[in-house]
Amino acid sequence: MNSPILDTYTDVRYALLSGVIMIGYGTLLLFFDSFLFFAPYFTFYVPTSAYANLLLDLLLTFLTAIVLAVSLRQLSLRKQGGSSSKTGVLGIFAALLAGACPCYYLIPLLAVAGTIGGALGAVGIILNAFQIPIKLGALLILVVATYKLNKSGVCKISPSTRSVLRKQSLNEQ
Amino acid sequence: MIVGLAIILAVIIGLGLGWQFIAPSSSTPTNTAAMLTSSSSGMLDTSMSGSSSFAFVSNLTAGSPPTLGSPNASVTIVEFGDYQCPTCGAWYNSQEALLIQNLVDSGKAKLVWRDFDYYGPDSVSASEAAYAAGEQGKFWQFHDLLFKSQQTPNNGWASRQNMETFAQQLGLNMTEFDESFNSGKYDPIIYANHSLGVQAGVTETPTFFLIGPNGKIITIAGGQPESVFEQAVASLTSG
Repeated sequence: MNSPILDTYTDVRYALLSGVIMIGYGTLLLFFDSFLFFAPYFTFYVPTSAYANLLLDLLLTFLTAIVLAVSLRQLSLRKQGGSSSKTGVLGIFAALLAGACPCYYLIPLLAVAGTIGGALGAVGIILNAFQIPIKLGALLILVVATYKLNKSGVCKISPSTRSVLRKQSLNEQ
Repeated sequence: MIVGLAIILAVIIGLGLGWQFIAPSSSTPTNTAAMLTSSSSGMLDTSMSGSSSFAFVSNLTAGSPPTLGSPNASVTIVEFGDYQCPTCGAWYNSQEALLIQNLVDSGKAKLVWRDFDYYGPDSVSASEAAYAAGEQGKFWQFHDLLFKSQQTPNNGWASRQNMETFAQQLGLNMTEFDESFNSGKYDPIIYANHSLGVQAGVTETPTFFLIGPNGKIITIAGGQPESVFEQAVASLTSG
């Protein structure tokens, strides 16, 4: 049996969905990380001190797109009566959890705008200052989710079943 | 299902990117700002380009804020920033010297500083200290020292005690500095600057308003590269 990840990308619809997620989520991350500006001119700019942050953004985007597309396909197969596992739901949960990391960028903005401010603003400022460790955590969640998803499609045969099958095979001979 | 998900994703992204355009319409001072702001009037015209109201331009350039460059420069760059803001620090350390070299020293533009303190009381202390240094003609030296010494916000690097250390490093007269620094006389300026930023629709720092010779304004939000400023200045001066 092929890897569920490879299977997903052989289906044009899911490959396309993954591309849309990658572009959309990537744009959002790059914008909130001040790598991408839309005004007054469209500008893509990476300061030399921010290469690590850009790399993390790209990895997060890449893995989020894979995990979401594969998870959605797993769920779709399950609905159609396939043998897909519950990992699809977990994958989506993991991707959303990891994908929530850019939301902390909004908190300082809310503090500036004064719509929330106070303690939440302070929390946002702290989170913003520790964005690299937070992103590393998000990346870890996605790596684990990718690994689990890739394993979920492989049919496991227990040792007892294996011995029964071997006996049957010997009897037939 | 896939099309539906793509639409939902597009809406989420649209909301995210649209935030900065939505936020100004609901701008009111933050808790720090509430502590700082004495009054807040209505919104002013902050359109990205085109003719802006005379009042708005006058507000941005009103008073005698710290200014670097020739008074006759045709473009005025008004920066709203917080000494504790990491993006302001990163922009200062990578772009400000280039901007000064290419636009300020060449006489094309002058740079005006306005505080937009929202990171906490230490930001206000840093602003007060910079103004106190300004009394001895060293505002910009203190400004530079603050950004060069920037650390994680609110970890104590911008405490009042450290401001004294910075003042000593610059060789300021400490008696005069302490008198000014602790007088509270800069608070109204800091309040007014924050209030002005809120009115202008500042939602992140640094935010720059570039005012052209005919009152036309271009807003540059975030730590954008110096080349964007050159392009904007060229656009404002070309008519």
